[in-house]
Amino acid sequence: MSLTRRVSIYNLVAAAILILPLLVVIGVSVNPGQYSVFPPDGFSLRWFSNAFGNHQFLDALRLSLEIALGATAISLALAVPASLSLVRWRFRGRSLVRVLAIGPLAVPEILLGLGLLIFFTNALPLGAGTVPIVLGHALVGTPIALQVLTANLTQIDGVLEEAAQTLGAPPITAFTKVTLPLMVPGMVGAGLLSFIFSFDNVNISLFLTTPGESTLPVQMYSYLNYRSDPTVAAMSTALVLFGLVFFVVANRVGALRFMASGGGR
Amino acid sequence: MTNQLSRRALLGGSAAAAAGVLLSACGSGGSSSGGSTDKVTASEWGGVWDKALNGIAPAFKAQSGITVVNAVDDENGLVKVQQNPTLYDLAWLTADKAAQGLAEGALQPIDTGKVTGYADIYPNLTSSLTTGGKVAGIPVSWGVIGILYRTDLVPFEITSWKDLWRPELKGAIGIQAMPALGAAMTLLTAAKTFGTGLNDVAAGWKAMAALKPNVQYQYSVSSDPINKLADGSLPVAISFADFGLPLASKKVKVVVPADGAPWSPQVACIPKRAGNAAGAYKFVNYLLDPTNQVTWVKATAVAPANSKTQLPSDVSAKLTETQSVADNIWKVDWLTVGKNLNSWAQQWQQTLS
Amino acid sequence: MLGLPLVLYAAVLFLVPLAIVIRASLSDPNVFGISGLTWVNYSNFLTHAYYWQVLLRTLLIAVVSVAATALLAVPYAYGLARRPALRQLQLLALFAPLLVNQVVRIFGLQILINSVNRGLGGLGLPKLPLTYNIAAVVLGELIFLFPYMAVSVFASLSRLDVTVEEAAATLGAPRRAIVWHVILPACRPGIAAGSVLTFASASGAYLVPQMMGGGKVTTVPVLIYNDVTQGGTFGSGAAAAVILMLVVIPAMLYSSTRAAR
Repeated sequence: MSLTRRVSIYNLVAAAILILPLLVVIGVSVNPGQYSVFPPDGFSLRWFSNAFGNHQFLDALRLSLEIALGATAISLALAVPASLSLVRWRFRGRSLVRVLAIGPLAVPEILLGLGLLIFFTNALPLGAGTVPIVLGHALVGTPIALQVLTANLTQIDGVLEEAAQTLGAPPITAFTKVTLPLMVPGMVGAGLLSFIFSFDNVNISLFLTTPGESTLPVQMYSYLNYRSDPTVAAMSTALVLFGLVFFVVANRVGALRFMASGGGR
Repeated sequence: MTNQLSRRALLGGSAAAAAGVLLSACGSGGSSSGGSTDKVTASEWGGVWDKALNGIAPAFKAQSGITVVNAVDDENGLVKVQQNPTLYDLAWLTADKAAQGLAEGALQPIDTGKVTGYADIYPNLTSSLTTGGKVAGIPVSWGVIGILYRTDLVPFEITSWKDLWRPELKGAIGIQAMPALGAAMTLLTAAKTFGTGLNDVAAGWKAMAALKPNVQYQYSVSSDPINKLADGSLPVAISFADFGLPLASKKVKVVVPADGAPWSPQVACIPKRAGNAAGAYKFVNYLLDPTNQVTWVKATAVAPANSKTQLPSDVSAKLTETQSVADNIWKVDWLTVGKNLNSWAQQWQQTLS
Repeated sequence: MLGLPLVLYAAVLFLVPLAIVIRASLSDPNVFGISGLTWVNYSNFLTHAYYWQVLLRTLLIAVVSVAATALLAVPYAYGLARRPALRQLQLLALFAPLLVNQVVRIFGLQILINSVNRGLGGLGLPKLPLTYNIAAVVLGELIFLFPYMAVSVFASLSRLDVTVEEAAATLGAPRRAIVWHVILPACRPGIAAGSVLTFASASGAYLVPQMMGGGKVTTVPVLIYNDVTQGGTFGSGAAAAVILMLVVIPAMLYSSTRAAR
């Protein structure tokens, strides 16, 4: 079978276009001067050492990863059961679930952040650390996850699960053996998108950071407001490389198989 | 607590209960940091400031025993102080927000007697932060705003602010977008250049409308125009002057016109209900010390506020703020700027987009 | 009821901040903090043609961005599901750009456009009209939204039954009919879900319109941002947000209902 039968030309072109700005960023990150130009004027790794010699960036990176993992866990824990109930059952209050599951997406982030700040300063004990940020990110991460999960679940035939039950499988077994495995691609996609939403968020985080704790996007955004050197481009390049390694490892252990099983096979 | 709130929110159809939360939210809010004397909690802008403040903190702790803990709030410092009045002992603010914060009662007036060497700070910096005898904050450093331009892309030598209105610069200039302070400074520059003075805002708006054809774009992130000057897509930018110095190899010239210029200081302010104001004063005094000013300037690349500071030549080479520039900066009324920024932002949007 | 945890969570964490925003929208725009009780923020917005223009522009950008994204991302998702060779590369192209800081991504995109324009100029060709205008904003949105749409559609296609498609082809159905009657119906829930996500993102975005538009493309979030980050008054920004939400939420709800059907 030729390659064109196995991969669409359109996808290769689109993938190239999506990656192109990324190559520019990588090029910019090695520019020796205190500004970002492409093609770079030379080759230097000084901005990488600046990014990683910067404790604030590294601490912020660790914190951002923790927050994103926490927010993703909450998002999935709330959205997976909610998507099942929305798709599989007709019940009173379905539209209430829908409204509540969409609302947070529709409030401009900066006001959501301000509203949460006012709420949390009164509702949570001071020194709550990263809890407010995790809760705030999950508030938007949940509807993102729910949308993807619902789209996935709608295409999974409930008849299969019923058939398993008719053949004598207990409902729980029927669900875990039949439906759950089919939900994995949706869960991976939903999880990745809510993770990235949190990992990239500036506007909500800005209102909810507490003394001594700030996230990477906030640090990078502030940095860019006072420095034109490619440190943030270098940090971004490093993150992409980390992502790449993660991807390769995930692929090795078979985690991506679910993500791209495709074609119903 | 959360349980109770969720039940209340659900029972009350949410809105009514939320109104209750709101009432308390708009009242005092926040709990106390305890006012411990060995810790100063500060709100700051992040990025280079975060790095510099954290870099200087260990030496300060060794000398005073006080730990400085920073909160990265970008431009939201005043909002955070408002919502959490007892959390912060120190707030780093821009001058407009300092003046406004004092006027609105979120900050306490500075007791200049507690600031060592207050008299050594450039008088133009301190006088602008004093309204009716009350001092809004202590400027620790400052930067002047200038014109950065590519000598290979601009057909004449730019020497004054008025030059920016010349027709040769059609579509050539990058200016800062609202709601940043830099945009307001551009408006004041227009007022000063074409009107009777900094306060002639009506003339300023007319001049901004006339400048519009020359504006290529408005930047919202300060490093943006620097990169575009470097790659040649932007011939002229109004920006912090110091940002242009590393671009000498890209044929970028930095001009601070002789008729003076707008500027912006880094102002240390003390929230009204600060638990450890004494510690905050100590830290500010530490930063104002001429030796420590050099460390601060090296880390931040802004000019020292203390006129007694002796900068090594390699450090001063990275700064445009000479003595004559310091003497000529405009006497900006920061309280007026702070109070009007909101309505200016709306008019700006309608005039320039 | 399995949706209960989500309902409880959102009831507290969403409705309370929402109430705060609504309360702020009724506050005196000239007084520090949230105080007073007035309709002036709404009447000011609704009686000025300027603000209506901004609202319409915001919605236009969002609708065009979502449509363009769907048009380009649906074939990508389909290609990924149907021809999964090099899937690592295909997935990487979706997710890797999301790891780059947003501001830096926009820098990269603008540098790219400038380079292309320099090249075109060198060849004596007209430049791409993609600097600091609405088209540039839509392009920026497209690049930012593409992964969200593609992942949503892909999630709904992961159970795509190839046999139906093949059977239709074997029976002599023209390609167009297969696309219309087999492939697109299978994509529909994904398109609907992706539209909800991308529409919300596009109508609420600040950085992309502000940076790609070079300050010349005013949208509702730009107005909100201008108000909230300055001066400590929130009235006009909050009112603009409430008006935007009143338009955006019903549209999203409609799309979301279709997704779950």
